[in-house]
Amino acid sequence: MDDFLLWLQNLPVFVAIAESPSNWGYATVLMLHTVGLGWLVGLNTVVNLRLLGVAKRVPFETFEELFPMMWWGFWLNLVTGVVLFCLDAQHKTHQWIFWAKLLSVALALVTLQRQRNYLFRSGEFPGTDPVPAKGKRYAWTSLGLWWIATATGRLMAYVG
Amino acid sequence: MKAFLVPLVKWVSASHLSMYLKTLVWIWPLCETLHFIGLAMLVGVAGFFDLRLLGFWKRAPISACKEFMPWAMGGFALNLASGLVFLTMFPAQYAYNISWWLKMLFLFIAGANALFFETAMGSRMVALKPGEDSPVVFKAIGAISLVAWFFVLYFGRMLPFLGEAY
Repeated sequence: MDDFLLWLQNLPVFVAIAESPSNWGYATVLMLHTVGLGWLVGLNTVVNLRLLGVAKRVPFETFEELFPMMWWGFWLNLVTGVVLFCLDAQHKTHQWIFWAKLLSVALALVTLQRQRNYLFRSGEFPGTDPVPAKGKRYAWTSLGLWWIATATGRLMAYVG
Repeated sequence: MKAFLVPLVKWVSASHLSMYLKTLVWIWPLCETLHFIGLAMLVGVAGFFDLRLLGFWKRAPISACKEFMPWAMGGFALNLASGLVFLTMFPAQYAYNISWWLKMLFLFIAGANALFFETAMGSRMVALKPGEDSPVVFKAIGAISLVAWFFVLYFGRMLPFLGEAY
């Protein structure tokens, strides 16, 4: 396994990105990963806040077009995340906090998709206030999972 | 500028608070984590509102979308507090870093832009009916805000690379 990970991170393309003195290499990939985080987590937070009673004059249907936009942030972070992983594959594979981050991101994405289905596809959500307990549960679960994902992602630089 | 900065940086760096914070090994990772959670809240809420100003989701009144903004301010407050911890602990890596000054410049632009909207555009915002297209000035404010926040994030993340912060 370690042989494969070393082979991966020693591929010329990843060595070039990791060791490039230019700010267009590693620095830009890392910066774009933060942009994707802000976009995906931030927009999901807006929906969660609305479900929890903020800005009650904003109709829920507003958010239907917000969900596809959140996925742009995800795709950006999938691509930049794969590159960041490949630059340091062996070390990251052995970091427990890296796996905790991946798990929390996966659970947050499942929650995102289930929240979207609940709000706009299931016919279960009334579409107006008051928000049923299930809607509030989705909001808190989503907020909590994104906070854990953000924290574990950031702490990869310090822990494990 | 440097003549003014050097003694200030030395003073902050040698202060009791800075020395105390440097003894807490967990404070830096904690504040980094809070800084990123705050970032997502600020950029997400402000970005949602900026897109509304640009003409997205017209069915939602602008004045209603603005009710989210205290949460953007909450994210900003979290980042201001955690940012002040960074600055107090290691002022030299920011004060002598071009990336940090550019971050502050775009933060100022984003703030001034928001203040202009808040103070000069209130009545026009209320008068706008749901479904109506935003006036050009609203679109300009939304675009300036999106670009400014992008560069706040850009120069913040580039602190270790354009300068020597960590």
